[in-house]
Parts: sequence; C-alpha cells; structure tokens
Amino acid sequence: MSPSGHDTKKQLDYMERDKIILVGNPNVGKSVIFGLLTGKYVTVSNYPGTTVEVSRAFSRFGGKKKYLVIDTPGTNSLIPQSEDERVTRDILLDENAQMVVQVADSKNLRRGLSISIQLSEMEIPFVLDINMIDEAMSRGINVDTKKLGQILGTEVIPTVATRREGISGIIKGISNPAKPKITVDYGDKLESGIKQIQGLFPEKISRLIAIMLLEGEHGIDEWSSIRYGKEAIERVSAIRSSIQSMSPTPLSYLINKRRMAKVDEIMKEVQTKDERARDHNIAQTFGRLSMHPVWGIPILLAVLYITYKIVGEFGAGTCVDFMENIVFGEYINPFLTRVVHSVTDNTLIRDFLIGEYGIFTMAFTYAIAIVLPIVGFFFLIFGLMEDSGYMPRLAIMVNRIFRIIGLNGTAVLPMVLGLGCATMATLTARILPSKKERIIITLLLALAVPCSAQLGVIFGGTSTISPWATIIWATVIIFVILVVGFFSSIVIPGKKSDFILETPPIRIPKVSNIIIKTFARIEWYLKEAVPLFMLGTIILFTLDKLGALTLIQDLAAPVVVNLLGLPKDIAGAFVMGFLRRDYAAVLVVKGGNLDPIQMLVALVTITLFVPCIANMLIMIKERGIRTASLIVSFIFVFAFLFGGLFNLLLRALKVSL
Amino acid sequence: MLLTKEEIDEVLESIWCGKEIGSVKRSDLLKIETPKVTERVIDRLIDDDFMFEVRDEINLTQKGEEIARKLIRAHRLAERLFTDVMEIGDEPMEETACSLEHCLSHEALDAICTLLGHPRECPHGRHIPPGACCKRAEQNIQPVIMPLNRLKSGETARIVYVSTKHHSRLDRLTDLGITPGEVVKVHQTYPAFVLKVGETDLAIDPEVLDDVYVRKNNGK
Repeated sequence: MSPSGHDTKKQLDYMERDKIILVGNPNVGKSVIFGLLTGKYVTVSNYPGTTVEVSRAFSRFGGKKKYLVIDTPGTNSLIPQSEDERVTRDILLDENAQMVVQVADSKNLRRGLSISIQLSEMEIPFVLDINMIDEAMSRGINVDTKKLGQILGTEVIPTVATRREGISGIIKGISNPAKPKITVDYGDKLESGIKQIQGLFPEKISRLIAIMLLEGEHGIDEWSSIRYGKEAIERVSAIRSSIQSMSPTPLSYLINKRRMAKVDEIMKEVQTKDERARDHNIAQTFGRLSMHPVWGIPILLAVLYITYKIVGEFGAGTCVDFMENIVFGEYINPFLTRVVHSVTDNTLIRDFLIGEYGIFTMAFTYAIAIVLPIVGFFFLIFGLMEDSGYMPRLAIMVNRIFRIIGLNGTAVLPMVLGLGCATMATLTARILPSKKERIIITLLLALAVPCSAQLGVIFGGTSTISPWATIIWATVIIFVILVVGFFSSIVIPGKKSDFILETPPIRIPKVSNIIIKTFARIEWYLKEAVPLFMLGTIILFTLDKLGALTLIQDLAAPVVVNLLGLPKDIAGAFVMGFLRRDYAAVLVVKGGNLDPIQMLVALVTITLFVPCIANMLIMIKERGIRTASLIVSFIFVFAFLFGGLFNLLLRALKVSL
Repeated sequence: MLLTKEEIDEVLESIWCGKEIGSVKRSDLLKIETPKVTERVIDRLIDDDFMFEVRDEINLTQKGEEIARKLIRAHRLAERLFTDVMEIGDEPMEETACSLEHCLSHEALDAICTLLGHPRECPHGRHIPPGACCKRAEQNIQPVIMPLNRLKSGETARIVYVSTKHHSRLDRLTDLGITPGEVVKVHQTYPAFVLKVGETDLAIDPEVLDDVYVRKNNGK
C-alpha cells in the first residue's frame, strides 16, 4: 500500500460511517422521515410501493456531523421476493451500511420486527422508529418501547412522522448507534449450514449473508461470485443442496418460520391489545364500502365522474379556454407580437418567434395554455386518490378485468398514472413483480393509454363533433387495450404473478402534501415537456421553411391519404407525434380542417401512434433497447393498420356523425 | 414361493410412482434393493394377478392398483401430517411414513385426510390419490381444516399450515404475516379476497389462498 493509502482508507471509513439508510416495510412512512431528516421532498403517498427509486441527500443534524441519508423502496424482507425488493438488499450490501434507521408501522409491528431481526443478523447498528403510533393507539394497541429496546439492544423511538412528532428522538438515536443483540436459533441442520458457509470465506461474513447464500435466491450468487469468485459459490451450492436434501420444505420457509416464531415471542413481551377499542370511524366504513362487490361500483363511478368534472370539464374546458383565448389570445401573444414587431423587421425571425410555427405562438401557447391546466388538475386528483388510500381499493375493483390482459389489480397504479403521463407511469411499472407484466404494461402504456394532456385535447376535439364521437373513440381504445393485452399475455413468455396487495387504511389526505406533490409533478412535467414542445416547433418551422414538410407529406401520402383517408398535410401531426403525442393531437384538432370521420380516424391513430420521445427513452432505460424497439416497431405498424381498418369500417358502415 | 406383504407392497408402490412420470419396465423393478426384487418375484406377482406385462411394459391390474393407491395415499398423507401439523424432522418423517403406510386402515386414513382438509399434494409436490372422504367432503361436509378460500365473509379462522408447493408465493405470504398460528378475518370474497391479518388488510386472489389451510373459529 502506498504511503497515502492509509489516509484514503481513513477517509473512506469516515465516509462510510456517515451513511444512514432508511429501511422498512412498504407504506410505513420512510419517505416522510427522509423528508424530515433532509429537508428534501420525495413523493409520499398512502400506497405501498410509492418509492421505486432510491433517493439520497446530505443532512446535518444539530449542526454537527454531515450524513448521507438514503431512502429505499419498502420491503417485507431483506431477502427479496421481487425486483423492487432487491434494490433495498443491494443497497445494504453494496453501500456497506454503517447505520440504518428502520421505520416500522406500530400497528403492524410483527412484520417490522421480522426485518429488525434480519438487520441484527446483518450486524448493522440501527435505530427502530415505530411510526404511526397514533393509529396503533386508536386501535387499542400499546407497545412497550422500553422493553422492546432492551430485547433488541437498540433505541426504539415512537413517532407520528406526518405530525413531526418524535423526530428529535431519531436524531438523538442516530448519534448513539448500538449494534442489536438479537439472534434466532434456526435448529441444528440450518445452523450447521450457516456455519459451513461462513467458514468458506476468508473474511467474516454476517449471519444474514450466510442465510441468503443458504437460500440462494435472487442474484445473491452473482453478488458473491463477483466478490469471492466462482469456486466459492460452487462450494456454497454444494452445502445448500446437501442441507436442502434433508427436507422437502424449501429452506427459506423453514428459516422464515423460525424467525417468525422469535418475532411472536417478542410480540408477546412488548405488545398489549385492548380488544374493546374497536374504532369504527367513517373513514374505515368508507374504506370497506369502496371495495365492496356491490357498493364499490357506485363509488368507483362517482370517483370517475368527479375526476371527469374536475379534469375534463373544469381543467380541459374552462381553464384551457380561459388560458388560451383570454390569457394568451388577448394579452400575452398580442403583447409579444408587438414586442417582436418593434424589435425586428426580419420576417424569418418574426416567423420563428410568433409565426404559424412560432416558439411563442405555438410551443408556449400549447404547452402552458392547453396542456398544463389539464395535467395540473389530473395530478391533483391523482394525488388525492393516492393519499386517501383509494388507489388499492381501485386495484381490487379492477383486478378481474386486468386479469384478462395478463395483469392484475396491482397494475392499476401505472395504468391510472399513465392517464397522466405515460413516461412517469413506465417508471412505476417496477412495482409489478414479473417481467412479463412489466413488458405488457409498458406496451399498453405506449400504445393505447392516452396521457391526460392528449385526453383533454381529444375530448375537446370529439365534443365539437357529437357525444357519439367521444363514445366511439373511448370504446375503440378500450377494445384495443383489451385485445392487445389479451394477445400479448399469450405471446409474451413468462409467468403471471399473484395478486397480493396490502390495503392501507383510508386517511384524510394532508393538504400540504397534496400541494407539494402536485407542484413537484407539474415541475417535472414542465421540465420534460416544454423543451420538447420547443424542439418540436423548431423542427416543424425548419421543415416548413425548407419545404421539407411538403416532401414528408408526399412520402407519407400513400399511408395517410389512401389508407387512413386523411388530407396529406396531416402527416405533419404524425411527425410531431414522435415528440409528444398531445402535441400531435393538438395539431389534428386545431389545424386539421377535417370532417368528423377523418377527425375520429386521425385521433384514434394518433392515440395509438408511437409514444413520445421521453417515453421511448424511459422504455429503453427500463426494458432495454431490444424490447423497446420491438414494442415501438409493433406500435408503428399496428397504429396505421388499425387506423386504416377503422377508416374502412366507418366508411363501409356509412357512419355519420 | 410365497411373497411377503412387504415385497408385494414395495413393487406395487414402485409401479404407481413410475407410472406418474412415465412407463415401467421389468428392468426398472429389478433395481429395487430393499427388499431385493428378482425375476421370480415379478413373475409371481403377475401370476397372482396383481399386474400384467404387455410388450415389455408393466401395468397394474385393478386389484394391484387398489392396493397401490391406498399405500401411496397413506404414505403421502403421513408426510403431510408430519411436516405441516407435527413438524417432525424430515428423516424421521420419511422413516415413519414408510412403516405407517402398511398398517393404516381406510378409516384411519380418511380421518387423517379430513383432519388435514383433504390435501391434494404431499410436501414433495406429488399428487395424493383422493379417498372416499374427499368425495364426500366435496358434497358438503365441513372439514376440520380447509383452504382459506372456502371461508365466507365475516368468518374468522386460524392458519394451520401453508402449502409449500409454490416457493416464491410462500415466501411472499410469510413476509406479509400469513404464517401458521395467525388468526385471519375474511372481510369480503369478491372481486378479491380481503383478509385482515394482524392489523393489516390484504387483498388476495382466491387461487392463492388455495395454498393456505385454516381451522375455522366456530365460537365467533
């Protein structure tokens, strides 16, 4: 080692000591705690699996040491069952965590303690935060935190994170970390397996890693073969099969059973429950009714109706009207036009800024006046659905229908979010446990689920024709989702996963969280959409000036004119569909001069047509280039063929609107 | 030469098991070591009408099949009983199951089967041949232990065991608190089952709950 090596090592040690990792079951409030510890906002909601990405932020407590705080997706076990649960384990393994804050739900302490034991087996110092102590108390559950602390050998801090109660206790606990002392006896056979595995490695490995190796699931072999070489893993797997051969029951089950027995032993010591305290409040009653096979349906319809009223009528109607015609039409654009005219005589620059394809008159007007109000109100409603706890109930209601398309109720979150923004939704697809389901949802989001902006524009367009146009459009799109979903669930290999979903209690959403969340999402939208709207306008402008737009229109004419029966200048809208689908819809509705049938065909084709650039990039990132390009090619061909067929059908049936 | 009961049982069982995965030939049977099976044992079993040989392949006669079915059923039920309810270690379990299979009566078997809720598979995932009790149970007699998805809304039950057939499902259920000994309450059964386990509400497909066996609480 070089002379300076020592210093580097010391520095590394220091860095490592400063890492705090937040770990816990889904929907226990890790992200709220993260926000309180770091002052940084990450999306918080009342839905298990909200956090799919890892957040990191530096923080200084009490003006002393600087810590790096890491928020992780919720997990029920450090030994993962699905992709998103793997993330947490991998962080714990790779970050060489020196300190963990475990967040647990006080009313579901049993499941939290199972993780506490695993952390203890990992030999990481931790603080146990038992959150939502208010909800536990109202259910007559009382936890003896002092006794629990003694049993675990760590600090146990009761909190109500959403009201900031008890946070100072966590900060105090962090400065005084203790290694927990709790162990589980897994019985002679398993213990000998753990010992044998621990003996294989030159350096000391923790009990938990030995247990993971013994179970041998979800990539632990890859992780350790990188560290210790292939040979070590071969010997591990020999030990594994010799232990497994003694038992018909999977080793993981035997291990879990012993661990849960230990948890129950602790639970008996620390938790008392007053059976008389049965709180039946309105929220709980509503929670039950909203997933009831009969009452759930009117509630679902009411939720849809309110959403339509707020997003569709008020957002996409009243607000867009006001923004477009009054704010932009009468004030902003005339003002900018005067400014531009007074500054320059150059017609090219004038056209570039305020012409037909002008940055101000087209890009900004579309992005801010037409799309933003719709997206904003959608995110508001979506936030309310998430935080109230309605979303999982919706998942239960639609489970049966989603089964037809190879998914289950869990997919409702990405699906509904897709109605807001398919790009965001594609990221959320990670909460689905199987690869097959993640591909199906990605395909459907890209193909047929219109984003809120597009939806608003489309409703605006169809409503000028007749209510039937809206109904036909919606029926066709739902039909496509069901048919394509059904066939892709047959064609795409892999297993479908079980529908097992936690339904958190109905809670009154916190206004401040809804506001912060909605604004965070709007900000995200603006950052993503406005540059693309500008880019799109610049491309259209350039193509128009170069005369290339006519060329593209001529080239696309066979498809656009002959197959779809549309005027050839609509090809420009399809080109823009690559940038943003809502933009393409705007072009069709505002500038098409189409007859009703043509409008309907164009809107259906645009809805199905390729996802926007942002969505494509996320598809490549999440699903890989191969799957993404397969999906995009399929969509490209499918959209035009289906559009053509739809056109023929409408004409053959002589539909008049 | 007279065959011992052990010899007859062992050969018939082997044929049954072999049939589950393919066909059985004379040479397969000659590989059995305890008790040693010879050509003469096989010939004798054919003469006694336990089995017959067609073009190299050995098949059970109706008489042979009945004996084999009972043995297999006894063996696999015993395994279920030992792993799930009594939690006896695996080596002693196998040994006991092997000796028990020869002496359990039909009545005793049906009692065990009823106690266990008419399980369909042994812990190794192999099919348990149904008995008369299983057919009766389907008609409507309430078994003591039954799959969770047979409960109606409002009922409570205690989990007795979780079938180990689907490995990852098992781990997921365990992590969510569905473990032997826990009390569950069924809130609703459609469009999905909604259960209360501890203080958690879980929505689960009914098919998944096929793997969770419970004992109903009749008191409440």
